[in-house]
Amino acid sequence: MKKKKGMTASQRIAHFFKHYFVLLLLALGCAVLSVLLIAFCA
Amino acid sequence: MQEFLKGIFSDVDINLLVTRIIFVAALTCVYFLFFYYAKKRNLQLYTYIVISVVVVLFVLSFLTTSAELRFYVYIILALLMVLGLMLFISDISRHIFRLSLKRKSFRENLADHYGSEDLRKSVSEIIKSCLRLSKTDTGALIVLADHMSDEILESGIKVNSEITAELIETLFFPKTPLHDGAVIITANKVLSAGCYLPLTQAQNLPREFGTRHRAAIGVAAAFPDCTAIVVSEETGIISAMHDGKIKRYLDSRQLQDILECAMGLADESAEERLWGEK
Repeated sequence: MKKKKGMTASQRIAHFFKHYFVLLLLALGCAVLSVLLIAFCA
Repeated sequence: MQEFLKGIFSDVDINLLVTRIIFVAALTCVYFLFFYYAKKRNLQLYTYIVISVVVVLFVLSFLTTSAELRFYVYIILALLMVLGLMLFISDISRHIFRLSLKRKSFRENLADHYGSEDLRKSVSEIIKSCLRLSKTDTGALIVLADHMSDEILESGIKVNSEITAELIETLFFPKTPLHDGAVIITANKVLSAGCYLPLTQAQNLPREFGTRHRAAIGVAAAFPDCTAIVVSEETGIISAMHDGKIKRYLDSRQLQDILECAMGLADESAEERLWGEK
């Protein structure tokens, strides 16, 4: 039912990144910190 | 920690670097998954907690020795992962289920099987019924969803019928067995009627919101892709709930826009104009 009209797959991916860019950056930051932590503690 | 950071950049072992990049990429995916579902469920607090915990641990690692910290780092990171998984397991499993649906397409009543003309006809039938129910102050709760949980569908009576204004009005006619519950519409079919929905526990709702509105908000929060339409029994006001957002005092034009979005007839920008950014 939720099939979005008028958007190609690449547009959809671009739209997704546009909306979740900040979240992605936060996730990347957390991941880098976690890896550094784990590597440091190991 | 400072020495450790210097060490990372001074002796670059290619294998170690690749392993770390893969590890960072994997962890980014995991964190992103948590943040994504937290945003969908309006649980931004969880995002802030996770970020604060990771940053605090990182800062702490500068202050204390590694031996003291190691145990806590592992425990806290593991707890964060488990907590995230527990909070959003239903969303994750639903999305995996939906992906498998898209691949296999074994469900017969998906929108692809219907032309946009049929869907538009259904939209106009729903609008017609809502306006008539509103005029006669008859309470109604209609849920439009891609996929509804079997638990909810089975709590009502299976109808599996074409959408017509007369059918919807009949289902909500007072003093009939099915009127006190939700009608679930998937794709172009009335799937089930008289269904029980999860009520929201939110406290900051207007006084005039009764059980029907609470059920609509509850289901819209639990299933972010669904849209719930409520006709108030007291006032005849038509409201719509979607992904934790509420729109009230709807006229036929607004109702049409909302239903077209719910049926996938509108594009993404129209949906954003209507409900705001996701």
